[in-house]
Amino acid sequence: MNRSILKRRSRKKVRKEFELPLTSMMDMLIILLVFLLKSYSTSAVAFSTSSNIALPTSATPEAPTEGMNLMVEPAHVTMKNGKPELELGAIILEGQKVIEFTDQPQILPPTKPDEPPTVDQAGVKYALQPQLVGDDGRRILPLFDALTKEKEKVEYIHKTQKFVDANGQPTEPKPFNGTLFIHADKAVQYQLLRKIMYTAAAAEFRIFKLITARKEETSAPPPDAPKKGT
Amino acid sequence: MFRKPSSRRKSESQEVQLNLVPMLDALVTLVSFLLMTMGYMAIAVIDTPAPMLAAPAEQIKEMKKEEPPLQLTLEIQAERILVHDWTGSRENHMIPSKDDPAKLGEKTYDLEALHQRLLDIKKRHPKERQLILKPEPGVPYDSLISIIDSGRFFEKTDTVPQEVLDEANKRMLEKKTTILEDKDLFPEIVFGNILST
Repeated sequence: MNRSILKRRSRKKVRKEFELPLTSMMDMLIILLVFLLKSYSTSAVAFSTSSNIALPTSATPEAPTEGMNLMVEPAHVTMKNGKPELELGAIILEGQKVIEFTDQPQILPPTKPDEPPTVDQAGVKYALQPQLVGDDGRRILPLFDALTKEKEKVEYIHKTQKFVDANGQPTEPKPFNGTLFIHADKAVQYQLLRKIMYTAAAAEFRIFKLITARKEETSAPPPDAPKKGT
Repeated sequence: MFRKPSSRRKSESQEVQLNLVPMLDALVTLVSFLLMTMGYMAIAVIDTPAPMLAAPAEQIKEMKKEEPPLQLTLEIQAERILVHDWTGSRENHMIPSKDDPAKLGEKTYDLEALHQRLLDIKKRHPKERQLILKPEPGVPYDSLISIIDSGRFFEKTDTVPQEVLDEANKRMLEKKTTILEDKDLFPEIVFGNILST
C-alpha cells in the first residue's frame, strides 16, 4: 500500500518537465538576424583603421577600394603593467611605424574613475625632426623611402609572379596605380597633410583617398566620429 | 468505438512540439558570426588626385575649342574663404567666418554661405566640375573635410537647376553610361598648393 503511493508520486514528477519558452527567444533572434543582415556591408575589401584615430565625418557616398594604407596617429596613452604610458604620435605605412612626431604632450588624469587617462592634445603641432625633412621642409625622407620600397615591392611581384584570371588563363596584372589611403585624425593640420601628399607624389603615389567616417543622413548635428573600427 | 482505458491515458499526454533547439543553435551561430564580422563604422573616401604639372594633350586640345576652364579656387584662410577663378575676373567672392555656436568666442567657417555661393557659380558654369583648394598650413583636417563636403554635391534640400540637369544628361550620353550625375556640384577636388613651398 505504502509503496504504491510512492511509486505514483515519482511517476508524476517525471511527467512534469521543465521547458524553456524557446519561441520568444527565436523571435528575438530572428529580429536580430534581420537587422544584422540589413546593416551588413558586402564590401570585397577588408578595411581597417586604427582605434586611436578619430576620423572626421563626411557625407560622401564612395566606398574604399584597393590601395596602400597610411595612418597619421596622434599621441595616445597605452597601459603597460597597469601604468599609463605615453605613446608618441606617428605616421604608419601598412602597419609599420615610419616616423614619430617630436611632440611630448602631457598625460591628463581621468576625469571619472572608470575612464582611461587621456592626452592633452592642445598645442600638439605634429612636428618632425628637421633633419628628417628635405626639399625645403616639404618631403618627409623616411616616408619617401618607405613608399618607394612599397612601390618596388609591388613592381617586383608583378615582374616575377605569374597572374591568372578567373578562368585560369595567364593574364597581365593591373599596373601599379599609386593609390594611397590617408587615415588622418581630425585634429591634424593641413601643413602635415601637405607634406605627406608632396612626399607621396614624389614617390609616384598620385591618387590620394582621404578616409572619413560616413555621416548619418539626419538633420541632427553630427556626433563625434566613433572611435572603434574594424 | 471505446478505447481501452490504458490507451486513453496515453493519448492525453501526446502533444505535437516543434524541435526548436537545432534551429536556435543555427541562429545563435549566425548572429554571432554577423556580429563579429560587422563593421562598426561605415567608412567613406574622398578622392583627390595629385595636381599634374601639365594636362594631358587631349584635354589641352579640348580646352582650346571651348571657353577656358574656370579653375575655381577656394583659398581657405584662418577667418575667411576666398572663392575666385584663376584670374579673378569672372568670379570673385569672400565668405567671412561666423561665430561658432558650439564654442563661445571662436569662429567657424560659414559652410551654408559657401554652399549657396558654389550653387550660384554652378548655375552660371554648369560644365565646371573641378574645385581647387588652397588651405593655409594651420587649417585643421576636420574643417577641410567639411568644406570639401559642402562643395562636392548638391544637398537633398537643394533644387538642381535645369542647366545642370541638361549638362548631366549630355555627359551621360557622351560617356555612354547609364549613371546620371545630377547631384554633382564640383566633385573633382584638387589641392592646389601641395607643390608650392
